[in-house]
Amino acid sequence: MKVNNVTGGYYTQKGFVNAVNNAWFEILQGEIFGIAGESGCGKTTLMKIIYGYVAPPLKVIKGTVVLEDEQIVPSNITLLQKNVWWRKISWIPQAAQNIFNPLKKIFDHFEETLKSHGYGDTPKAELRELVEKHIVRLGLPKEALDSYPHQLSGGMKQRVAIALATILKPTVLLADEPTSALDVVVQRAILQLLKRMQKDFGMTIILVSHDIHMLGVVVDRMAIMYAGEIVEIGDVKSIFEEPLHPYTRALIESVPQLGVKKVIKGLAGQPPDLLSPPPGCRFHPRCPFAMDVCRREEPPYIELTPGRRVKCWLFAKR
Amino acid sequence: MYEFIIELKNVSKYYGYGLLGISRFAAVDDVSLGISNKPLINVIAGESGCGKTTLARIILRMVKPDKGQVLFNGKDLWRLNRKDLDEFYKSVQPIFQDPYDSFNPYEKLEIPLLKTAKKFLNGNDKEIIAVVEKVLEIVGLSFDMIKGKRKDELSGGQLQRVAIARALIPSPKLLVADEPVSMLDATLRANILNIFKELKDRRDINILYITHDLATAYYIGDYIYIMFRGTIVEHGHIEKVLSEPLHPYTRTLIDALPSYEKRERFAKEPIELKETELKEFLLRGCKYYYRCPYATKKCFEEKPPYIEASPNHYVMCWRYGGSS
Repeated sequence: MKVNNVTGGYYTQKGFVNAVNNAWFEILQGEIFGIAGESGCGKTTLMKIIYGYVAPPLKVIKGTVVLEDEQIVPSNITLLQKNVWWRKISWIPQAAQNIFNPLKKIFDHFEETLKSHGYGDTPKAELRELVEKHIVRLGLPKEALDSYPHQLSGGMKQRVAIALATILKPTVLLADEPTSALDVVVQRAILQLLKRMQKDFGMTIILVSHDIHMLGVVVDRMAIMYAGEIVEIGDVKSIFEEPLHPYTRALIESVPQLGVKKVIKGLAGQPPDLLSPPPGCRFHPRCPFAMDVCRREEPPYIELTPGRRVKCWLFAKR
Repeated sequence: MYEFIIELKNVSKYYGYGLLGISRFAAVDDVSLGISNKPLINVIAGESGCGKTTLARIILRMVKPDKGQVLFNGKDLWRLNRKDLDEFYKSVQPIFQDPYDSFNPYEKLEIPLLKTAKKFLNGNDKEIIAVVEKVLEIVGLSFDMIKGKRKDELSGGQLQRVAIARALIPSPKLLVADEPVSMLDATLRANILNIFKELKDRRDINILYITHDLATAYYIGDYIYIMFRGTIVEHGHIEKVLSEPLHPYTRTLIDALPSYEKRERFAKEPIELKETELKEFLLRGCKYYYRCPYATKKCFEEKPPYIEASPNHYVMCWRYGGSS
């Protein structure tokens, strides 16, 4: 999957909110790719664009998203609905526990999805078998299919939602904060499930979260977003062992760790308003290393080694 | 002076469930704890549905327990006279999870601060403003920064600081902070946690920090109580509990904390989730029975005793002794 120079945002009464600016990266076959960033950094907007769900007020100004041979942006929603969504790319939205219809049993949700995606003439017993096989393969109990949503715990619902999103074996699965409302123990179970899908189905997973340490345990490569821009990208080892961008460092260091009693400073200030982002580097007002050039000019993307990029003047050769 | 500012003696609170709510389960089950007068940060940690918020509400006198006693400076909290009750509302101040819910959207932010100051303190306008200025300074803000602003003009971190400033106005002895940083971004959390540390170290304020997050708990806490399904399963000095956990539940919680270093181990030891919350609440014996790898018949039948496994390190588990 390739995301080429995507810029997009929302037209509001106050002006254009530039939520994604020049996003540029590729996702490799069969990897778990993480996108980390804090609230309002544009990560959910980026997710929507990758999925092709571009409906007003969201608008993509430039750039393309391509999945294998399928053009996702620009394209139109009806076309994507017919050919791409569910089959090639699936999206688990935030708070997916709440997607179920409370009056229908879990199996009915699967049945409905399958029927509207080419299984219209398949007998029910066969569908049932197919769904059961899928559920068991993911390590979930078959009994869940005969329950109503309220009978399942939040963690179980979230896992069933993942099973539902993957019933048609899409190539790419997008997961937006799949664990944000869940306890740590349940979170671990969900992450184990995602790992398993990568391994067993060779699925490519894009995982978005505000919690960089959560991403650290599952992803293969990751991007860090700040104020609508991808500021750093690389494999998980280099991001954690040699973070380059000052924001990445702050993000990793600002979470306390067990056994470490060192004083954590955090960052001063707050993320900028995307209606009128600061000139130059968008991070400069909070950056401890800000130089003159950072206030004047936007930093370039610097590729240090293949696949390892950072958007910061500290690494530019002049 | 009495040794504890707040003391809970065998406190239980029941909630109804089912069709008519006739059946009951204990959201807080026979909990005893004492918050001493010494400035300390005590942590109550547990996952959602462990009863930690109900416990906080009991301490704040927002919920009346069904069994047991809550003592404020040694006196029954629900039988205080007017004077002692006023004293309680001054000494114990809450801080809530979502700062956006704590303020009126139509009011300028200085108004609730001035109102609180007028309610608790006697003095002319000048003195009142001086107090408000001082509490804002403690949390790293100033009167000019918030004057005339409404809540949506400040970030979550700043607003939470205003909430802390408001709580400091009556010079409280104890702050009860229920998940005060869970709504904030990681880079802003540290600032709030550092304020709590400073309040303890410099202003002798006791803090009860209620959270699901062991990492922030470890960062600021002195003592920790681990809660599971209404009971306190382990209690002790935070360093000790988190480095040498005794209860299997504490171990599970620590192992589930994500960090890059744990990458290899994290996908192993698959987690199974089978039993429902309610079923666990209703267990007569140990509430952890369904999940515990060491569970025996005795654990199912009898509630484990609270054992002092090493000095000041308590655990509620049959594995550490006790006889029926």
